Amino acid sequence: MPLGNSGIGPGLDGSDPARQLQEYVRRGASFSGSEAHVVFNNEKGSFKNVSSITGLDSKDDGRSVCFTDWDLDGDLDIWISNRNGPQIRFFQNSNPSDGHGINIHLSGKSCNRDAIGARVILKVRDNLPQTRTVTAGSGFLAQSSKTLHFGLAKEDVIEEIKILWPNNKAQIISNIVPGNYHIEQGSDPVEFKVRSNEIEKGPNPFQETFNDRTFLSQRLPLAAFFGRPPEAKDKPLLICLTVEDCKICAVQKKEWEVSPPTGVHLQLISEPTLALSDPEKLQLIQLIYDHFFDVSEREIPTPISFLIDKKNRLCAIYRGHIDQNLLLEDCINININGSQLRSRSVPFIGIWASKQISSVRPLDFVEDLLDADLLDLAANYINKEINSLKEDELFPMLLKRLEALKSDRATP
Amino acid sequence: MCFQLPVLLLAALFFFSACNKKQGTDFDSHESKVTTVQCTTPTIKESEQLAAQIESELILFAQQIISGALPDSLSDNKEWSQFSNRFINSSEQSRNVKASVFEIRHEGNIVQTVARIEMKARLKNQNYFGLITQLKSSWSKNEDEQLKVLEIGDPEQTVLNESPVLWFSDETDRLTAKEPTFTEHLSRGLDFWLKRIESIHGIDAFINNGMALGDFDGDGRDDIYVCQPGGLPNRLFLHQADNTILEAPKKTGANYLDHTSSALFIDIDNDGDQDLTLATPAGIVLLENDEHQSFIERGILQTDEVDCHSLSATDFDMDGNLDLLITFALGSRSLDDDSSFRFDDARDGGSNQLFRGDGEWSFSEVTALCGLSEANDRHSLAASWHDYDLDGDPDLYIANDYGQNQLYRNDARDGSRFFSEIANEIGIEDRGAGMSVSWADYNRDGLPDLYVGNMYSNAGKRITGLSEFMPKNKELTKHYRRFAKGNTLFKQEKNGGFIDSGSATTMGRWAWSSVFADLNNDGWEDLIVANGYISGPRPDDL
Repeated sequence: MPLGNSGIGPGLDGSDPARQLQEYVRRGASFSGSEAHVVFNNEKGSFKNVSSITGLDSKDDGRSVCFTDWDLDGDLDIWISNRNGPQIRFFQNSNPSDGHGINIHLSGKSCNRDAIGARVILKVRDNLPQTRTVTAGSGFLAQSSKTLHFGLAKEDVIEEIKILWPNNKAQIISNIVPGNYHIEQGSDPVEFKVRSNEIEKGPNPFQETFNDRTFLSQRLPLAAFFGRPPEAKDKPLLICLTVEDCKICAVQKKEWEVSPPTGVHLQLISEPTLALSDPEKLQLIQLIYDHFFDVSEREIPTPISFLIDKKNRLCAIYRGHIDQNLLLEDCINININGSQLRSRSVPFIGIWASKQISSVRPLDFVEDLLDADLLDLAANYINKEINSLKEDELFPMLLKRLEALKSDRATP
Repeated sequence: MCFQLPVLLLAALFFFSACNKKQGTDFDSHESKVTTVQCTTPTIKESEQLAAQIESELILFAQQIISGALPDSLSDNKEWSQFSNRFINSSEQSRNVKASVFEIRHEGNIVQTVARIEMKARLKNQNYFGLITQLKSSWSKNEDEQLKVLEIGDPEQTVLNESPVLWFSDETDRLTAKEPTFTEHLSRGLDFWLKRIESIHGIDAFINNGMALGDFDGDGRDDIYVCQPGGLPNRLFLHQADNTILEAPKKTGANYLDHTSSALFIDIDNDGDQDLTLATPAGIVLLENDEHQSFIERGILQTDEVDCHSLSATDFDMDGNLDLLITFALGSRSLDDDSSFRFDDARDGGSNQLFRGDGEWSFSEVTALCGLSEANDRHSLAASWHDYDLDGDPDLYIANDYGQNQLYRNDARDGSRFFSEIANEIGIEDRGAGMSVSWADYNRDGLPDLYVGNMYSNAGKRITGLSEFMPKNKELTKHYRRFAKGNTLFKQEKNGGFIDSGSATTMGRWAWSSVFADLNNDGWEDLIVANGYISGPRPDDL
């Protein structure tokens, strides 16, 4: 049950517990987290919880489970995807029982080539039949291998394999030993072989190193809050907040003392701790830091830096030590837009299926200020950015909300 | 009856328990904001506080058992002593205990609970040993709300397991060691990226992304495609000869950046290689495998909704071309009165869509044509095709959140182009928080059976079991109880109906993929349940 975006409306008294629950999670709380995966062993048709001896009872927030005999040793291995890191885990089967298995890969001829929908019924001596079906998509958001696997316990001869192809034609194969097989519709099984993998691998030409900065895809006007010294008139401004007792802050400051960042005007704010002398300012920095992201109130890492362009708009957020070359590149690219900007605003390269990013409302930031009860700052912001804000059809409502909050505050 | 009740109940189910267990002080100010919600049914809140206290006491008790220090009061108890003896000289670091109260009753100053205790450790003989048991306990509280144990019952429904080796070993590090993008990207979880990628790219705290296995490069080994939220590239990892993984070169064209809920490797054009399809808010992306070297985008099937979840493929009309079904959770349609959300029967979900493959990379949207548009308004998280009635055509089961599930019987073999929704008729509607579908013949009687993944909640079980919980609406109480019950194993009977096969496999916790597979090669398909909702950066858990 993914609670997020659940669309659950407000409850009595205008309270909205679903939203409140979401807010807790957005602020970093857990919700049924650190639960151990559960495994039930099928003992001839009845189940027993064997989680503790499977090695699978990890406390990840698991999502997809995909099965495959990855090492082709006759038993099923498991890939599990997680919400937390690492986002995928591989569990290799090391089952102590010496039972073996058979893998069967089908390919259709007069039906779909993947043989999706084909049902295979396997019979060993004096035993109940086992059935598997070729499937694409099962469990939760998962696709397992299309190669079918059967556990055979100690049996070393399979009496019969019956394949019901999707076009209802049956094929029967008799007396086959455990192993890996490929069966084309209508033909005898052949041993399944792996081939050398001919794809040109080599190292990727792109170095995919993650830099801990967000080059924003949107521009947030901040002229209402940050003064710009005259000497920074023709340059982007880099506002960097450092605190004492922070190694990286010290390293960064020292580095800049020796060689100041080029291409920007640096404004260093050094505070003893993150609890700034001006709490409202800290709140504002937290708001700016949170504005673009789905989660909020996470601790601000230090040093934290904001790159602001000549029009006083926020363009990038840097966490920790800043790579000089990256900063220089960001300054050069500070005015890019469209697909170039979209690419630069994500940490790794890739392809977009959607044509464009959905647009943002400058109004949203004022809403953030109002939510945080920073009414004076909101009023200032509106004054400063009135031209762009008033184009939004919701602007009159925003003004009404501000007035209402003001009068609320006036009445004790 | 007031429609807003369900929302209060949602709060009751999760929120009351949430507030009581907080350990940090960070939340104090927020708690005060919501006191209006808490105060409406204070007895539930009190009850939850007691449950939390009793749970802590039971953890201490379990720690005593596992460390061999049986409490004096139980020294005569054969069964508890026996258990305690099993753990003697077990490795201290390997000891692990968990206690969960899932039933609580109040009679004056007496509190009675039923709890599950889970313990595991590595024994002196190096064997792995695990114990799960249930126990009843009763407690009294004095004027200062201090709890005193009155009685610890005997262990019930005990499950013991012992094995010289673990069935599986986590080999993630070995398999990914050579791949730098794993360290840079996938070693970090969603919480890390949420604070680094703008939400506007399609990433949020509640997003779910899947995974697919298939042989992209035609070497006979399954490769792995990992789906990602918006702003992070999906990753195609190629299975190497030494079983490690390396990412496919960038020129392969697999690194889509749109939020991708799920993906499938399938041979869409029936030419013998594995094409790839992706479920994204922009639609279903169709990628043709070009000579096992790269993908060519062959179009995007436009969908009506954006909150995509499951993607599944079948050939429902058996014309040799694969068809695609995409499910949606949230819908864009809004209810007339948004306070009327039915937690137990939500009908404001996105409509699922069926695309019939017509060959040559062309697809037709046939949802309505096939009769699938009826009641197609639920929050559908998972779907899977299976010929459950063995009539030669694949039927469709859909697991829905906030309501009942659906089984669409396919009668294509009999010449009908319409699906019939018959979940209630055959007893597999499974009204719960459906999140996963898996089919198998687990009892080897030749008839397909079904395992449905749902939410299991100790807090939910406790609260819905209280007499104070919705005393006036027994029918709805039943639904809410069902909601916290957990997974369901449906056994198919000879008459084509299904029966709920009982409680042995319900406790999968907050379950996602809940699937059949023969994990120990004994010929009987076992079950694995991947679970856990959100482990946030803070220690407190709702």
